[in-house]
Amino acid sequence: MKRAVGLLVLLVLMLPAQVSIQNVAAQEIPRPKDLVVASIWGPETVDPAWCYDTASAEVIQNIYDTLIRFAVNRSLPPEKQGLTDKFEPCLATEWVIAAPPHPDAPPYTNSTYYFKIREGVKWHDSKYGTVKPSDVEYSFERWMVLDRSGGPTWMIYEPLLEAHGADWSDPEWPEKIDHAVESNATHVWFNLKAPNYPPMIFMQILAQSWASVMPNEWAYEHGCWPGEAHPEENPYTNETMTKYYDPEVSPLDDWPPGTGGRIECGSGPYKLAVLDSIEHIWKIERFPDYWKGWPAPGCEGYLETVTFYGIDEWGTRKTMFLAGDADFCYVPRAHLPELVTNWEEKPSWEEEEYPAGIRCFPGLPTLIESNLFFNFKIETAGNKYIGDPPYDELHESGIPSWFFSDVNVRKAFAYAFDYDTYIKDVFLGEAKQPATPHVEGLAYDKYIWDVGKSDLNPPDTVLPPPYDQPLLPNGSGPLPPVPKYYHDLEKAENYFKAAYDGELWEKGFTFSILYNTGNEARETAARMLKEAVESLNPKFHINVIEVDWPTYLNELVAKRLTLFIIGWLADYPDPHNWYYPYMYSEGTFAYFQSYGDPEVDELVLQGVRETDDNKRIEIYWKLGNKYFEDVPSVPLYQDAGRHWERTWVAGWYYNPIYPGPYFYHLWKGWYTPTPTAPLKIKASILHGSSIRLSSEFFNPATKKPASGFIVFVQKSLDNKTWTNVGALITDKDGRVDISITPPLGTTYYRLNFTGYKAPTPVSDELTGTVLLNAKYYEKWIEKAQRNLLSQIVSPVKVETKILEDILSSALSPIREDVDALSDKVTSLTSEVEKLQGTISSQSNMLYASIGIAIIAIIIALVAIVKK
Amino acid sequence: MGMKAYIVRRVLLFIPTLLGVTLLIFAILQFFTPEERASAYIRGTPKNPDVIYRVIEKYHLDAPLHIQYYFWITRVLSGDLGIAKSAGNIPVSVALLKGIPATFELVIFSIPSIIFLGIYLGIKSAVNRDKASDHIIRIFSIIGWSLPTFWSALILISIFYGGLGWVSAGRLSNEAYGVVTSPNFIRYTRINTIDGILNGQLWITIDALKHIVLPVINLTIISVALIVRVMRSSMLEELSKGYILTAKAKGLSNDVVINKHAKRNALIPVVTISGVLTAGLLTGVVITETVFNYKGIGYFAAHAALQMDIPSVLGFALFVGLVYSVANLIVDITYAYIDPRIRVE
Repeated sequence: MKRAVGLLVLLVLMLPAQVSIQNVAAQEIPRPKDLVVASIWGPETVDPAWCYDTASAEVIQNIYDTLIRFAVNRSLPPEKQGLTDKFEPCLATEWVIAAPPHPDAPPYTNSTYYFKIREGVKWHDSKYGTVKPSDVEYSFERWMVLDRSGGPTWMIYEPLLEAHGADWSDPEWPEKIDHAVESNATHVWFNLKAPNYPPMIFMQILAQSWASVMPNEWAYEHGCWPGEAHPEENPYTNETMTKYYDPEVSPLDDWPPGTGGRIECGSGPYKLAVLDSIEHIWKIERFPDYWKGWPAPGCEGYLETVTFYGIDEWGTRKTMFLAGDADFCYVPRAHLPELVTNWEEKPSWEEEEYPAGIRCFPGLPTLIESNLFFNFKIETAGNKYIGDPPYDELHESGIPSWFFSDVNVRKAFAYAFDYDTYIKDVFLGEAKQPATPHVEGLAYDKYIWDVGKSDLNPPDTVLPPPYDQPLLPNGSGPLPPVPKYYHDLEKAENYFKAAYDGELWEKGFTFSILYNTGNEARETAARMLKEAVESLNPKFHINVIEVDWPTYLNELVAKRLTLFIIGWLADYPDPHNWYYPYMYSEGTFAYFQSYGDPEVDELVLQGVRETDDNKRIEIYWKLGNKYFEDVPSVPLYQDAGRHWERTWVAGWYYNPIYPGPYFYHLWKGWYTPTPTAPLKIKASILHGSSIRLSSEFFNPATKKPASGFIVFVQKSLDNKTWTNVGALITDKDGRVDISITPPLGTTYYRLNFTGYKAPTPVSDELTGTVLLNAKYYEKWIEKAQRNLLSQIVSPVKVETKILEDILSSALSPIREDVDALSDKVTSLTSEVEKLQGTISSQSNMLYASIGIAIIAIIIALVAIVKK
Repeated sequence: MGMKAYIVRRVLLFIPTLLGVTLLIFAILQFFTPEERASAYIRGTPKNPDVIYRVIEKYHLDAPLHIQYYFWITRVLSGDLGIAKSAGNIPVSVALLKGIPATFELVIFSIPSIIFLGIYLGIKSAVNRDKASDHIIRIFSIIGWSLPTFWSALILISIFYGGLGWVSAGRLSNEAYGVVTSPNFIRYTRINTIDGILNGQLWITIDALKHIVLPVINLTIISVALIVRVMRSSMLEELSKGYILTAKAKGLSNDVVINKHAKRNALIPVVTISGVLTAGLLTGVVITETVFNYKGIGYFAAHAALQMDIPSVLGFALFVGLVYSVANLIVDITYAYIDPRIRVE
């Protein structure tokens, strides 16, 4: 009896969860105003001035506003809607860039940027009123005062004061900070010391989370630097500023002190509800008084809350996503075959199929590049990775410290690596081999293009003009391509033979390549390089060694690494942020490699002191070519990411510089047809029948005619998946009037959908066209408008009501024939339905049986033991 | 010496024990260079070469061992365990206080089922030695003991969450979490099953119970075998002793002989094991916490160690030392209760 009661209690406890899963199966939108993200954890702060990681920035960009934001072009496919070189107003309504120095600016000022501040923007805490220009000034000055170790402050110091950090040994430093940003009742202006600093870079810095604005008074009350609002605290003195400089933890991440409480007071669309770095959950809630209003302009809904769950275990995350308990999910590349259902067929991205209710945007270029770096002057003291001494001459059992200083050695390694195989095997093809650090997604990327082996004519000579590439903004060009390395062992051998006048080929070498634990991509690259190089000459020996990240970092700093693989993530999407670390003698990588070339240094500095886009493009083109010639490092891959979401989420778009989604632009739902009276005609009657379809469609949110698709859907026998077998596109006013013959097997149709109206070009091109070949249709749509395609893979079983109305008149002349056919079809359908029911119940029974069996085994065991 | 004095003395012994543990960890850490220890503060590629040196200087990472220990111990004595870099820059003490309740909740639900089931099965196995039930219990306990934790956890998740949808991962559902983190809900203990009742929201407690079922089953499956085996061997030993024969000769029933005489004596080694097991679960159920997304102290500590977060590792070491010391104390006191022959000198 006790056992029975226990079992009953267990079942009762479990019942509500079972119901919720069934709801998902019925395709209602779960949590219609709440979005759940299942991903891996990362945020460490909610203080914009502290934040230098994408996970924290993802939270901050949704709760704080910046002066400007990166623009969005909704007429492009979602993957390309986020722009990195165009800006739109946010807290600033208008601006003047790179103007002559302000009359009151310090004499070292080279230019001034003015921003007019929007009026009436409310803070999350109404106690602090609205955003004032002085708050903007405060936020930037506080950022410079805080300047935490390893933080992002160098980015604002570089243009404003031509420095990379605070210099408290300079007694005038507080005054310099004071004069760098100024404000009056309506405007804020920045006085830039850096000569001819590119406006593009400065604007890109201002558009990101670290440039967020907070109220001076609120920050002061919560332990931050006093700022202008509190002159009694002597804010602009060395003593006061150093008190708030580089703290161990930001007061905004530990308020009240010692509690670890996270606080914010932004003016962004969402308020922080919780950020628990132990339970790995953060949650933001809609700020009803957001100045832009709700929903966002151009959007048809909004989210009340967004909850982020950090879940390390992929199996758990996947289960949540498939069950509909998560709307967004991070899917590691290694697990793609589990969600791309036709993976075995090696489909192209356009042909990929996903489980019902799931959508994926593949091939998203990330602003991350990984390279093979050569150390020009290896530190030999205590170095375990360069074989045996002596370290000042070539020999088979070790290498000298200057081993990589011969360009022939570097080129030999560059040609030895099999880039294509590497990207195909390790990244499953989801990456590209860049030619230079100027990766896709950075400013000017479309003007600087590269060629691989297949484009060279003859080998190593680039094609002559004319080029089918964009002209430069001033109408000149296009520029010739930048070459890149490719896999060619013969060339590699020739360069090895040429190195050190043939001495290297004769004597050989031994050294080690390190990779950090758990980084399979780097390990594979190292092993592939080892195999390729060792195959050329039996005197060539490379060891591949695994070390943990602390050791890797230690050896990097000590300049003991020989040849190392490491990646770079963009701070802002401008090539300066890449060529500086990669090629400037004091840049991060160049410094650790001991690489330096005065000509290159000069070019890098020219790039950051030039305001003319055309000239900058040419500078970075020259640097690209120099990079190829000098080979200080070799680009291995630029990662391509994916975004996975449930199909009931609408409005997502990609911007490579965004740390994560901007949730203000997202909502849940899809367009549904205007409901009409139902007519009892079975959907199965559609089989092969010709019908006239005449109707008009409305967007229920705006009540205006909306263009879109009618999609014919074939349902699988197990009643679980739907396949698009054909489609019809309305005209731009949402009208359709046409005779059609839905393909055999069509059981349902569904209409438009989620968030995107078909733009005019698509309608003009395809209006009235019935496309009954699904693959052909998808390809066509893909060309025209990728985002629409993404919507129609929604597996939603749509109302049959409208069609039934249309059918009642359209089918009357042929009703008798159809009736006879219908009877047969009905009987067949009922059999199929029975089968479906059986399959469905049997699969449920199977799961239930397993569960019950386990419980039964336990009970049986206990019973046996008792006997 | 009375029991009270004994307890006081044992509690005072905690201090040198904990200091010893932290000193040991500090000594081990000296095998890492300052640059290696700086990696806790630099997540990816350092953006400027001087960043690493600035971090080393700021946190005294290149100072001699005794200076570093001095910095740390003076902070600890003032009640500050430092900042947990691996847990988003919150104070280590806060991280511990937030992580412990989740693990504690998991353990208080797991331990009774592990111990009582283990004792019950152990006795049954011993009493029915070499019979079918004995073999079955031993086989199943060996299987449970041998199962990789993550594997059994994933199997449970895929059946009961992915397949049947009866339960889900995490500590609470999205709806319940929304309520728990709202200003109206007071997290008195951060133990959701208790806080739900204290806030008068029973559905939160039920929601929390639904989420705790699978991790508890998983911990029971993998831990019960230890108790079964110890109880069985201990019971067999007791059953072979003379006083059992005497008791049987007196005509006592089998139940009385087993439950009143043999069981009580056989429990002593189980008590020892239970103390260690409880302490072990409180300080290290990393895999179960990870797979079921049930973030507790074990998960926190594992992350801290992987990221060379020294203040967190030291804070956790203090906690572990404290848990084991307390567990041993409780075991010793329980000995005295179970076996009147054991008394404090």
